[in-house]
Amino acid sequence: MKARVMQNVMRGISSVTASVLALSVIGTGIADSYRKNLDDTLHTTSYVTATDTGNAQYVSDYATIEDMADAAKNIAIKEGEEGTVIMKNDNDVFPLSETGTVALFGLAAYAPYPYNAGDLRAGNEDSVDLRQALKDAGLTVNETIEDFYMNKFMNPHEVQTENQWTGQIETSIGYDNIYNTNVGDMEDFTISEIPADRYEEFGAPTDWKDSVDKENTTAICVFARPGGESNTYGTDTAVNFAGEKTGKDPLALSEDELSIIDAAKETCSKVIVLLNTGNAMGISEIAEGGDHEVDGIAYIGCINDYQCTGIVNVLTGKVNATGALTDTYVVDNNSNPAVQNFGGDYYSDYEIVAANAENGYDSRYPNTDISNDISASSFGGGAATYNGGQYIVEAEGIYVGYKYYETRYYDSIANPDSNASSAAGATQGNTWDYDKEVVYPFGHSLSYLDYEQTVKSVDVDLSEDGDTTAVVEVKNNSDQDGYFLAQLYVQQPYTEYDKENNVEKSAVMFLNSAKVNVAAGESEEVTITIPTKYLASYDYTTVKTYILDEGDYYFTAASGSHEAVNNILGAQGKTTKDGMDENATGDVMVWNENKELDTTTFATSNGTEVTNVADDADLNYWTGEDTVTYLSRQDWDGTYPVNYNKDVAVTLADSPKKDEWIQTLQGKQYTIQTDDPATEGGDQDVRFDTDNIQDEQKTNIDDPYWDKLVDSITIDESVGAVIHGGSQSDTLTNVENPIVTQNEGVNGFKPAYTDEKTGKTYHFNVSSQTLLGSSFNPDLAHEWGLIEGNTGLWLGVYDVWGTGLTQRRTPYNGRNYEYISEDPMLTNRIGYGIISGCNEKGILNGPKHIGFNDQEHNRSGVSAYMNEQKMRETDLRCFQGALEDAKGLAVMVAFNRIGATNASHHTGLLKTILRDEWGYTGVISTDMMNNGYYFSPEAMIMATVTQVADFGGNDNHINLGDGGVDATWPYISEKTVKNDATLVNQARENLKYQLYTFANSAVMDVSTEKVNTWWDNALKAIRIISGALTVVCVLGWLGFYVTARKKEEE
Amino acid sequence: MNFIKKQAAGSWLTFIALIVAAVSLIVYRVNIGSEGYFKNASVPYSVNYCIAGIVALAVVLIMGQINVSGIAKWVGDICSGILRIAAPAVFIGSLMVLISSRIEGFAFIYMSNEEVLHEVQTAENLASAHGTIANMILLAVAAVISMVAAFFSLKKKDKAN
Repeated sequence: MKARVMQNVMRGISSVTASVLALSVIGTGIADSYRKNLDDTLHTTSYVTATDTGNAQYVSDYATIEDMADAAKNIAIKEGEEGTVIMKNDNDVFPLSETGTVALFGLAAYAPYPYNAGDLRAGNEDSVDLRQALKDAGLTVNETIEDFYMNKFMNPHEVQTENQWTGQIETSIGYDNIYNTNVGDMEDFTISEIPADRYEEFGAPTDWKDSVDKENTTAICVFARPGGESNTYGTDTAVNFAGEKTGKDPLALSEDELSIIDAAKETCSKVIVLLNTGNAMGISEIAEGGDHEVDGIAYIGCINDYQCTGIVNVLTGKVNATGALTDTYVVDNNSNPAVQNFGGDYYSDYEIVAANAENGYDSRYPNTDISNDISASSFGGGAATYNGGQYIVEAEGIYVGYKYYETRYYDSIANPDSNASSAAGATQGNTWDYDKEVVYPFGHSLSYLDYEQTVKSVDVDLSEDGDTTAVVEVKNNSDQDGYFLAQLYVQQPYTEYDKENNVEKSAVMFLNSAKVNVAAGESEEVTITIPTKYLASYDYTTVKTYILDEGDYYFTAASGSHEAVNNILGAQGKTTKDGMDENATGDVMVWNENKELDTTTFATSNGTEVTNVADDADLNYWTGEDTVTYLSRQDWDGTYPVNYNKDVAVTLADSPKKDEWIQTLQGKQYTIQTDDPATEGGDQDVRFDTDNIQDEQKTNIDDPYWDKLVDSITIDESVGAVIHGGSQSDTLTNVENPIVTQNEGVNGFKPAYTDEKTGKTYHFNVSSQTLLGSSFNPDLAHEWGLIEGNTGLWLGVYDVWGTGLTQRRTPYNGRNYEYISEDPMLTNRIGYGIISGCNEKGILNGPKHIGFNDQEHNRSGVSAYMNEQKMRETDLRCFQGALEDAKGLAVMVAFNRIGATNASHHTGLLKTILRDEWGYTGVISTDMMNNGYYFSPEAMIMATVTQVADFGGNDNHINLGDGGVDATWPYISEKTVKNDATLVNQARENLKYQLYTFANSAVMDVSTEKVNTWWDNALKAIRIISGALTVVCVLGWLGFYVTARKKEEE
Repeated sequence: MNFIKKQAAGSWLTFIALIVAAVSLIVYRVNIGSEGYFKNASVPYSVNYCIAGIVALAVVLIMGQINVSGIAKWVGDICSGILRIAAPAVFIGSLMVLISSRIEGFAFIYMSNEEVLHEVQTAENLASAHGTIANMILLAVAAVISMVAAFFSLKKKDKAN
């Protein structure tokens, strides 16, 4: 009896221990795959990084963490000082008297956006918000209004939430009432600003207006518009405080906000409005002549921990105002040609792309139904889909932002035959009138101190790698020493050749800018340089390369694009009598040494012939007819964009290239070969270490060492390491490279540094992309890049997605706060500054997201059609400064398609332009690999992607799925790729780029060693103990069974 | 004794574990067939493990009802015992494979940044996540019940013996 009971007990225990064994064995594999995520969550360290301090090539410029933190803080303050833009300054409202009184109106006055730490804000203990900065400067803040907002209406309080995974209590700031921080995806957007007539309802004293000493008080109204990943503003989705849909533009000031301004005007002698956003807002109502006109308007961007100190230094005149607008501010965004095609919609027969029994199955996914619906989420999941059902046509071509408004203005005066004054695109009347459409132009910048900027000389080096150098004289006409902004613009010739061959030219183009200190009454010369290649234009129709037109190039220095174009018109003999809204105020330098059309100098780049690589990005390529008419200054009326989703039916089945189009949308850019066996990798007796990598290897990617090194990588690992790039680059067998983890974020490294001695935590993501842009100062960007690099060295992390350089094509992109400007060259030069600074410290700083990721709506599959001039001269030019000129080390690719091709599959973009033309040897990462049917691994490898951003950790293999196939793409396995030498060799080539990049970075100074964390040890102990117990208990069970049976038989 | 009365706790618990595991399979099928994040996201190895566990328990129940003697009883009892030890481990395996394949989805749905929650926490995605969680809970319950069942005999001892 006893033996029978015991056998049951032992069997039961065996089942428990066997289950624990199964749990620990499989759990160990899972934990290993998500090691980085576990480390982040559990605050453990799996890899110990050792720095060879004695021989390190890259060392921090700061000896102590306090020095490092101070330097970062100082740059952030400078961003506030240099990025604050005085847009309107009437009645001497600026600068504010440091002993004056201000009344703060608007929710963002008390909690500037963003108010909580996270991706956008660092969250250091000593951060300073706007109210505090004003008080620190000596200003008195009206307490009655402050009390109402802070204590009655907003009521800030700590919100403690328990991390659902770790159980840790996390504290953030919450408010009873605050502005909406969630834009959503073209959804209703509530502007939750309380109108002034409801203050008392929410606790303001009935006599609150009497509390304001009107004569001696200036009102500061601060209004915010937020942003966010996967967020896109709709064009008419505003909802008011009462919760009513107004049908208005959510970026325009709402009636509730205007009521606050009116109350401020009633109670204060002067009124200032501060714009706290990364999106150009609709502010015509408060600008000159508006129904709610105010005395002063300033742009303050999206703030971070310390920028408010710098912003207040500008508002109070402690420093001169030198910021400039990065975008054009217009009365009605419907006047923007890019907005005519925004958001997108379905092809009329998008379903024919689907793989199913009716259309035929995809050979890569036999018998699998794959739709072509747009997935509800860009975060993957859901039904299988190619996600390619929708498209937009970027028919505005190069005419984004000011290039449209200023060119049309110029043509309305200089080229009346161009129909520039026609009704097309006019929102303020029956004819198009610049002054009725534009409120503040790109580059608009008011200085407190009177100054002049004049181009003194221009030198153009016409060689392929030559520079154009302009010397600008800045004359300080004031009686104070000051700091000034010089902006350089050019007008390229618009020739008959251009007109005949559809080469578009903006009437004015920003080139670069610089700042300089000038003593009172003195002049200083500042040299501004840009690569000459940016004077060339892309002819996509005839010679299919860059051309430099013959003729007059007008260089001018001006405070904004409109002043620049007026200067050029003045130099061409035009005045207000010809229709100009203002006579020229500055001089122009004409350069005309290019005597004939040059189609050769810029037709090669880095030894590569520059020619069309994206004919199929043009919708007309597929339809076989002129379906799309691109905006042209030859006829503004006849070419103004229609909406190519609503006004035109695009039918895939009608295409003469129907099958090719469908294949492209299905992501079949490359077919895996079956008859060309690849060579298996094996130990070549070389390693990734300082013994093998000397200067000759660092400077020459063609050195035989690199081929030998990557030849040692197995077929499984070469393909696996690329298509499972994950959140870290893993150690490759036979290579023994260090682990490199990737880090967010766009305002600096997100990981924090904790000083072991003091316990103090430092956050270094203190930058503001918006204010860095509006600083118009590439030197400041370079300083920030150095800081970002130094913080990487302090943190011991070497890879960051640390800036955003996508063009702000429209004001509605919810991610504009991460980007710099509507202008390619301003973005290009700021990007150049940041990346060159980071490179000096050996840090991989990858800008996001190359390739027209200019809307978040349907970002994970929408096709963006365009012609190749637009492709090369807009979004790609934004990145060219960072990746080609500054020799960037990393980049993240757009989520969307360029034409019908996934940007991460686009060999024309990534291999031909980026790698060959720009000579880029760095890391190329996809955006989030959220959909295996949209991202094709073979196509990404062939496009020279070095890491596909899935979320695994230690997963360098393609045999981890069921039955030895790839876990994500079942048609990929060692068996299927080993007979395609081209594919495998390209994967090795891509890893060569990655390793070469590491060799030219601070990664070369470190080695990583895997160490066991406490949970590694715990799992190991559980495995051993449960295994041993299982054996013992099973034997015990058998023993008791035998005993019991024998007794029963007896 | 009739058939029902002969059954001991081990049989009843094994039967319940089998039913729970079968229900988990049904929930799985419904989950991957419904709109939401995990639609069509099949996890064949998890299913295979689960079916293996169900088959093992079924075999255990059937063998428990067969009266044999001699060497056949020795072999039958040992096989049955091994299956009873292995079945919960197989369910755990099924559960862990399912968890492994769902971690990324859960991370998206529950741990995304605030500004993208509207995109990922749709009713369909949350229902899909809840379905998967139910699937996991059922597998875990099946494993625990079958572990408990392993502590008990399948049949009551014949009083005549």
